[in-house]
Amino acid sequence: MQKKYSILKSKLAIAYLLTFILFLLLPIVLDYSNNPYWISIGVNYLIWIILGLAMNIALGYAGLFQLGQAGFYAVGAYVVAILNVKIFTFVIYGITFKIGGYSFFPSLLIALVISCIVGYLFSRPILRLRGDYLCIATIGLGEIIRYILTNDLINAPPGDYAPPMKILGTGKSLLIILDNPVGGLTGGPNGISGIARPEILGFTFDTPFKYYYLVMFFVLLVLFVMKRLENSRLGRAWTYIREDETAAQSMGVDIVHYKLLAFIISAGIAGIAGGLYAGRYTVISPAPDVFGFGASVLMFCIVVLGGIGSIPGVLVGSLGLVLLPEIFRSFPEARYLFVGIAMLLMMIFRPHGLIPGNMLSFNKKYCDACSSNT
Amino acid sequence: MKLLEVENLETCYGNLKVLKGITFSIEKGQIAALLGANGAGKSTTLKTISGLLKPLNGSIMLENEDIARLETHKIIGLGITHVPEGRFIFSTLSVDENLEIGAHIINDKKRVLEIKEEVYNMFPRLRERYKQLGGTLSGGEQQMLAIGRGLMANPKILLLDEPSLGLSPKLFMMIMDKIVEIRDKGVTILIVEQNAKAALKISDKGFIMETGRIVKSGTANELLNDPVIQQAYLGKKT
Repeated sequence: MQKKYSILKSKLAIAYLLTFILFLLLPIVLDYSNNPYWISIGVNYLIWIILGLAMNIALGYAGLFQLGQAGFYAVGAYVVAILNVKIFTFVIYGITFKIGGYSFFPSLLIALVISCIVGYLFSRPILRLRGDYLCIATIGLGEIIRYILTNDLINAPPGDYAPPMKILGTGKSLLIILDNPVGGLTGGPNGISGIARPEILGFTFDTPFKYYYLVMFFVLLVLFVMKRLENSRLGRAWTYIREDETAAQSMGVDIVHYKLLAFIISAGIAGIAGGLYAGRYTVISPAPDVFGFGASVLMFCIVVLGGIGSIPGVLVGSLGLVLLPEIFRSFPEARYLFVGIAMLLMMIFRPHGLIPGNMLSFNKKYCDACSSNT
Repeated sequence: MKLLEVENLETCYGNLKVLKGITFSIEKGQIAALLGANGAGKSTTLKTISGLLKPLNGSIMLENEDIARLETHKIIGLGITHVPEGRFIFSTLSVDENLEIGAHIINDKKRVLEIKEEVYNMFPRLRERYKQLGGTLSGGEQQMLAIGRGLMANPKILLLDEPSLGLSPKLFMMIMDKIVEIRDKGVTILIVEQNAKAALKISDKGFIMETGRIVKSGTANELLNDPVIQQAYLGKKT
């Protein structure tokens, strides 16, 4: 039995290695065949893999029906954009210091932290909700985040004739000044443009080809974290909560604590994806198809179609949902029809997703159980 | 020495008061039986003790510490484990994984393995099937698994809710023998049971509940020989 298991394991390792090499070589092949458009779709695909993995933590591991995920994606993108483009001057008790104007990587780190904080504030009041009620609450909260960004926190003076400085708050002890207030803080419906491209040690990730490998590095990082989580105490606690919340609670699993962690970690990873999006396109706006409810649904579909709780499932699911509309782009009227048909077929023939999360381990257990019976 | 003292406990479901002030105590190393008709509030009592429900009034003292209103995972950490009615086995997880859930509050991996070994020694049938999925076990095996899982938290008190549910008489007797065996290892047990006679036979103490109140309590022998109780709960015609 041990032998069979190790063969299965080594087969899996080979499959992972081949996938990795394929991902590594893909842009090189596309570059040789002079296909920059498809490389940028590849970048998009990788960003959606990160979003799918983030969703997989909330939905796949902890079983939380989270449909506000695009809110955290937006928070990540906006934090990177604001810290990059705007500069704030703080005056506290006469001490002056400036925040902002940071380059991409420090901004991304702060975006991760802020997404986690927003994830905490977002989930704390709705933690006791279950199933469909949780789902409705998250839809609302996700849209609230987008509306806050659209309506801007600071009244923006119209046009380009804003004064060079705008004082946000006055007081004896605290004074905040926004140095370049054109467009206000979040730019309202127009969003923020002119975000600097990521740069490290003089190397700029300016072409889609270079950006592809940057995002791929983050995909690998997230995958590593998820693999570590899967078999940890935390991962097991999530499994118990997903399988049966009441039983988990009566066995001493602190469900509030672990659900909160699922929300926070998932929000943080989605925030990273948002930051990478901002760095890729250098322009962001609160468009409903990018940061709205539709995006959350797409993330949800990636996890459900790929297979709940399965990492290879996320890779396949995002391939289907990001690439399929691109392939049928030449039929602009009908391209979502093909996606719809593909989703229907998947649901009929593979109702548990293309690669169900517990398929491999289930088969192993099932075989062992049969052989021990006979 | 009194291990668990419940005093004037009241619990509500919304507007409906189910426990109307119950008071009882259990000494260390005893088996106590909580008996009564359907809807008397037996399961509610257990749920309140284990923290799944929060009491309205009253106190629950475990070794002179008030545990009423604590979170469930903290109560389990203090030594009270609840084996709920209907067992709540994780049907998609293996027997081994199901047992590990019970030890979730114990951080020490080595200690978990030791306790698991003890549980497997107590229920050899579970060891035979350790890789089988929880949902494919028979009713008796599932009950063993539920009790074994409760023991994984290394409890001082084990709360058993209807261990006889859906079991054949023979299997039921076996489970009862196991309960005595667990008591002999030093775990105090509070058992809720419909089969009053069988429960009182292995118990040291018994409490009879009726519509949210304890109407009679005493040693198991007293209750077994009480003519009123014999007629009402033990199926003896007078």
